This record gives sequence, C-alpha cells and structure tokens, in this order.
Amino acid sequence: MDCLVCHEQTGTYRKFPSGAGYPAPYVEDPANPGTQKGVPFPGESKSYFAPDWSRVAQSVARPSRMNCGTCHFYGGGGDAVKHGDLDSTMGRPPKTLDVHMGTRESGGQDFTCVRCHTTHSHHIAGRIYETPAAAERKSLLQDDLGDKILCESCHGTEPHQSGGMSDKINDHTDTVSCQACHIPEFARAQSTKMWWDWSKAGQLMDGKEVVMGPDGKSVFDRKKGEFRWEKNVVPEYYWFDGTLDHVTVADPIDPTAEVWLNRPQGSADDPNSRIMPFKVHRAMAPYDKVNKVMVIPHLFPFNKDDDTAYWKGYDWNRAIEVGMEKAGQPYSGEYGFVETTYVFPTTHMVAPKNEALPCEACHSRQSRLAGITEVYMPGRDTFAMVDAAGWVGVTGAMVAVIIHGLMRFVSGLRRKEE
Amino acid sequence: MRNTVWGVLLLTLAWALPCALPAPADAAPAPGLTPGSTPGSTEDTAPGRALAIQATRAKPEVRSTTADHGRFEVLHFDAEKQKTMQPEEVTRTCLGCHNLAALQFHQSIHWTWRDTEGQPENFGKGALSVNNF
Repeated sequence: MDCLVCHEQTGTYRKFPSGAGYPAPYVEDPANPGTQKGVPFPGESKSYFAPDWSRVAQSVARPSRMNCGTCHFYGGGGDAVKHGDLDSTMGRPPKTLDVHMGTRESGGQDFTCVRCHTTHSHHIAGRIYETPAAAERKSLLQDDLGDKILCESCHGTEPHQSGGMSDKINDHTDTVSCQACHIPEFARAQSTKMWWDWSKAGQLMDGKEVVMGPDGKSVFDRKKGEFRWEKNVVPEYYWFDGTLDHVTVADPIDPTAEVWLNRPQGSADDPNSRIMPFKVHRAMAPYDKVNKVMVIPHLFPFNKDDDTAYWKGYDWNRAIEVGMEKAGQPYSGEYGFVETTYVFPTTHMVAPKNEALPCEACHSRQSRLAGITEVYMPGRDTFAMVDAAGWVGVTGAMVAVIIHGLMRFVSGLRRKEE
Repeated sequence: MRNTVWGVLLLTLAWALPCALPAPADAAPAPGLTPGSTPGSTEDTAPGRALAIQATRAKPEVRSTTADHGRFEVLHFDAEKQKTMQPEEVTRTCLGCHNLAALQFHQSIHWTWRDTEGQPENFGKGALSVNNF
C-alpha cells in the first residue's frame, strides 16, 4: 500500500493488474509520440495507463468512498463478490440504497466511509478479526472523541419516538440490532456471489472457459469454478456480540459437515449481543484430506513462467503444496473439497425508514427469525397448553352463549303463547 | 328482551373490533428538533433521527484542510522523470513532511496484513486466515 491509493482524489490512480501491485508502466504510443499506448490485461477489455504522478500527488485529501472502494468494493476478485452490502454501486449510491452514504442529490447524507469508520493516526475504526468494532455501545454524548462506528454512536439507544407503537420498537433495541430491521435485503443494486464451487475449476463448461449468466456476471470460470449470484438477498440472522470466531489453516476441521470458517459469536443471554443480519457465502473449498485442515492454494502466478500457480498450471496438488509451504504449514499431498460457509455482518445499505421491516416479518409463522430459537416471539411461537386452554374457553363461551340464547328465545316464545 | 341480547352481542363485537385492528399511528408530533423534516411525518422527530440530524446537518460542512497540495513544489514532478516513476517515490515525498505517517501506517492491518491485536500470529491474510471466496 502507498499513500496515493487511499488519498488521491482524481480517480485515475489504478494498480495493475487486478487492482493490486504497481500502476501500469509508461508505454509510449509509437503513432502518437508523447502519449501513452496503454497496457492491456488479459481477460479485461480496458487498458491500463501509467498515472500522471504530479496530478495524483497534488490531489490528495481525506479518503473518499472511491478510495476505500478501490479494494473493498472488489474483494474476492471482482465487483460485489465478497460483501453483499459493499460494491461499486456504493461509490455514488442513491438514498434508496443507503440513507447515510446516499448522494445529496438523491436526498442522502453523502457520508464517506471515514465518516463512521473514524480515524486517528491511520488507525481506522472497524472490526478486525476477533476484535469488535467497538467495546461499548456509547453515543457521542457519552464519548465525543470515540469512534462513531455504531448506529448508537449517533442515534442513541432509544432512537424511535416514545409513546404508542414506537415505544414497543424502542423495547427491541437491547436484543435486535438496528441493521436487522433497517437493512431488509442486501445486494439491492446488483447481485452478489452467494455460492462458489471451487471443485468445478480446471474444467470447461459446454466447451467454454467462461460462461456468462443472465445478469452479465460469470456463472462459470475455468480458473475459479462455478458460481451463483443473487440480488435483493434476505439475510440470515444470528446472535452477534460484535466478534467473529475464525478457523485458520492450522485448526482441525470436520469435513463430514458444513465447515464454518468464521462464525458470529454471541447469545440470547449476553447483554452485549443483538440479532444481526449476515450474508452467508457458501462454497466448496479445497482441504487436506489426511491432516483435516483447510488449505491455502497458490492461485496467482508469481511471474509468467510460474506454472505451480493454479491459474497457470491448473494442478491443485502443486498449487496447494506451494501455497501451504508459503504459509509454513504441512500438506499431506491429498486434497478434497468440503462445503464451507463464510459470514459477513450486513451493516451498509441502510434503507429509507419507510422500507424498514414490518413487525410481521419476524412476528408471524413465516418469521425471518426461524433460526433464532432461544427467545419466545409473540406471533411466531405458541405454547400448546395455553393455546388449548384459550380455545376451550372460547368454545365454552360460544356454546354457553348459544344455549343461553336458545333458552331465552324459547322462554320468550312461551311467554308470548301465554 | 331479545333486543337487549342483540344489544349486548353488538357491544361485545364493537369492543372486540378495535382490539383486532392495528393500533392507529401516534398523531401528535413531538416537539420539533429537526430543520427540514417533512411536516406531518412523525418519525422525523424520533429522538434517534433528531439527534443524528443535529449532529451531522446543523453546521455547514467544514473543510478541515490547511494546505493546498497543488502549491507544494516537491509534488510538481519532472515530465520526463514521470515516465519511469514508481509509487515509492511519491510516498517518500509525502513522508518528507508527514514524518509520523509511516510509523502510524506500519502498525495498521492495511500494512501488516495481520490482526493488530488479539492473535497477529494466526489471523490475517499475511498469517493463517482462510476464506472461501
């Protein structure tokens, strides 16, 4: 990383290839001396150019959405692959996509990333592996120089109006995260990758190296395998205390079941935990069949002669051997593929308030929170005993009313006869 | 007599009906704190929104920079030299003035590719972390 990639504001500073490494070298166009010819990158239609160093260096300022997005919108090797709530559409999002980051023209607040991911001395607020983004849920009134990373930092712990139904919503803030209701779906502007089968890599699909799907994104790539993309995805919900548990290549796994490479930590009885929405990316990923650990394959060639790289030699064994050696880990020489999950907390793409989830999204038989079984939820859950007692009462009352009514009717008729 | 029975039944129904319907929205808006909020929209005066809007919108946006980098001679690179320049050269120039930045940045995960607290020996793309994408 250099200073420019985060601080330059011209939007012309590009690393080459695949957004990492160095910018493209200066190659003069023989037809037009003094101008650049551009350097093509296989698999991409556009050419890369050497930067105008003076112009980019003089443009520096606090990082914009595009600076952070240079890497974070394209995590996982492409736009919207990794995060469901961060992709290139968040560079200039309309308010409907994100109320905070939305542009002024669309009625949004035009927040940059560092507006919430507050910085001091190049430390950027946010979760790092098992360290939560914030230790305490404090508002700016309680800690004015603290990180502004939580919703509570600005909105407090009783954000809704007091009185009436809103009071009830405020009652939820100690168990339900703001994100759970205010981000009803993620990947609302373009589809995000939800399934990735690495075991299909190295082959061809219908004789082709790359097969494009209906939304213009590849559903198969010889280098990477088979994928599924989804738009407007309903998140999965888990208790979350702000930390994620992580499996490393040194940790033993159980390949007979789905392997959770990271897992939300938290529980119903922890006062710091909230029900939080997650993108869950599932994938068939390579592992060591003998040592029963995940593996790190060497994918991207070190140079143009490096055919130990999977993307050049298409040999998993050699790629895993080199990758694991680089990581200082043993490899048995036998690999397989195991179904894995990787979770991402969903926290961007906050929808306008009128699109927040209605009560019945959770408080109904078709509850989104079917997986949250530790708490009793009115509308979703029932006690058979209480229900039975209730129905006995209702039926009994009805029967009594009918009998009583009949008796009154009959006795009334009799009185008339008299 | 029969009229009384029907009357009671009707009363019961009339009482039960509103219970089954959703409660009407709170009509009375709380004291206005928010400039530019839509009149009649009660949620705009919700404390959480009012707080956040006050915090972010009350003042004109402040540009906090005290230097125009376009006027620093050291950032006007020679046109011929630019053809072979590498980013390190720009970074070195930045650090000439921002003399604490390198040390600060070298302690961040963006440089180390490892967890900064917790388990730096295990977590991070520069350590033993693994993902599936």
